[in-house]
Amino acid sequence: MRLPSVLLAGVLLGGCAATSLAPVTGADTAFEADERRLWQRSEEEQRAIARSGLVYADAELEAYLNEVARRLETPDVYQRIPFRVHVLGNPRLNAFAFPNGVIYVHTGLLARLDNEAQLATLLAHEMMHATHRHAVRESRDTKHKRAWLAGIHTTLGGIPGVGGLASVLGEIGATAAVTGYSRDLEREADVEGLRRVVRAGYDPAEAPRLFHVLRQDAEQEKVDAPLFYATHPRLTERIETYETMLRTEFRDRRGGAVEAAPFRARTRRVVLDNAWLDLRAGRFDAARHGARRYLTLGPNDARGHYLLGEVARQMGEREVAAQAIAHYRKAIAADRRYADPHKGLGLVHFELGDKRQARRALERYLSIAPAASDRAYIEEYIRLCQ
Amino acid sequence: MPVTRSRFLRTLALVAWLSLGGCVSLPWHPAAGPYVSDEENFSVELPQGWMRLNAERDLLITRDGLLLQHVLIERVHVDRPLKNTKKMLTRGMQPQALAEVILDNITSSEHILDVRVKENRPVPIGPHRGFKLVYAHRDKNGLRFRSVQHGFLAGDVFYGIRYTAAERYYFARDLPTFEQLLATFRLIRPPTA
Repeated sequence: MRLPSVLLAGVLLGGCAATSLAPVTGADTAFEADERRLWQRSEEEQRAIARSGLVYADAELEAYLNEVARRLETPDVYQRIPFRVHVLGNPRLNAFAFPNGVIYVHTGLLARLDNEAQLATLLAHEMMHATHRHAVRESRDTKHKRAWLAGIHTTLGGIPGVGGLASVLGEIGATAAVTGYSRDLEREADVEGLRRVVRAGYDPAEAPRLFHVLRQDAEQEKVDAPLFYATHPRLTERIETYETMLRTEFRDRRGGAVEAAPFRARTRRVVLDNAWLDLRAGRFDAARHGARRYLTLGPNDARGHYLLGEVARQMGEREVAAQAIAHYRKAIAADRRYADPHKGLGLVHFELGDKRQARRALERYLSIAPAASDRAYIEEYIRLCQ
Repeated sequence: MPVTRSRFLRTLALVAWLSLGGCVSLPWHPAAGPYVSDEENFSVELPQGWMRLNAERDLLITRDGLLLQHVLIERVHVDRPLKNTKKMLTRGMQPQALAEVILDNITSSEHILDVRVKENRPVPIGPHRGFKLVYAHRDKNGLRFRSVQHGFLAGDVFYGIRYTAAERYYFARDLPTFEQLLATFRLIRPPTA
């Protein structure tokens, strides 16, 4: 059960004036009373997330993400903050960390990353929020305290793509996920995060590319800034921060691990699943991009071509109907027992008015999948073709 | 963490109190009897003992509180964007294609979580070719709900008739009432050609 807001106010007001706290370096770091209460509160909010059905269930993927995270911090720090990374099934580009080291990454963001070095940059940034105790530092800052207590959900509820997430999260999660921290704290997470990335042996040149991806998405979706850095310094400014570090602190550093192939193999399923989420949301370009990326690891994969066929069909434009048919045919050639592309083919032919072809494809669909959940619809189409 | 029965009932009671206890400030009216809206171009027989929210658009009724059970009748013009998906409805859509877009709009909502489709099939709604969609879902607190969504296109307008109730107890109890209501749904004028 949620703590009443009065208690939260007590938690936040309980902190004293000090807003600078030493980062967590090992087992001897002592957490203060208000910080421990923030952790308890975080655990409650994480239980709400677990109940919500938002968590993307893929144990292997989670294990991989946690394996990468482990390389970024010392075992001593892990003893004090037992970092755990989870994935949320959400096509928006976002990631956030709770003060107790629990990190959530959206499928949308994972699906857009190119390699493990970029993933490490993302995770390290989030981990730094926990090790550098940003939640409690922010909560002790009276300027921000008022914002926290003002009811973050009211503020965020009306923002498309944010309101729902904010309603599932509590105040701590919503702060981390949606509003972000102050510029200084975000910059600290960037700088310290990149140091962890380099220490773990990754190529730092990949770090700014992560933000190029975010900027590209922001432009494509015509949003002012993506969730991941909603009120953070503008993306361009952040890219400049990383590039400045590359020119100064890491100027002698050349190369490092990028690990593109293992990353793509481990995230392949999430790329496909997220592309379906994009398609359902009507984000056709993003869905097509995801399907193509999925196909890079297996150009003849039936599921990738089926998805590309669906994107083209559901756009509903006659000009792309030929593309839909081509992709469905590739999917069928790759796996003749895969029923769905036959249905897609039938529906496109139906829309084009070619009832003979439509009927043939739809009958084939039902012969492969006689117990299909949409059988009644398909039978209706077949009747209309007669 | 499983939601205990007592916690569930406490939450529902609170929700009911909040949603109907506020009748003083909300324009709730007893709903029973015929509802005829010339502007919205439909009529329907509303059940005894239910309350109606007299909103500008759409018809919303409940018996015990919005989150315990409600019926929503909505009209969406095909030119109007849907709330959660960028896909658009188009005139002349087949029921399967219509159901596909409406379901995508539901599953893309960040407020309707963990959607599981139980039934999706074409059904006539009066003289109209429509669909019936049954799905289970959860809210942000993990409470389980079940919805029955019927819909059809009449000219340029989509009519959606949806019943949503707490999965435990309320859904089954009030489903027959919803089905009776659905059977009385009529368009007043034929859709414009």
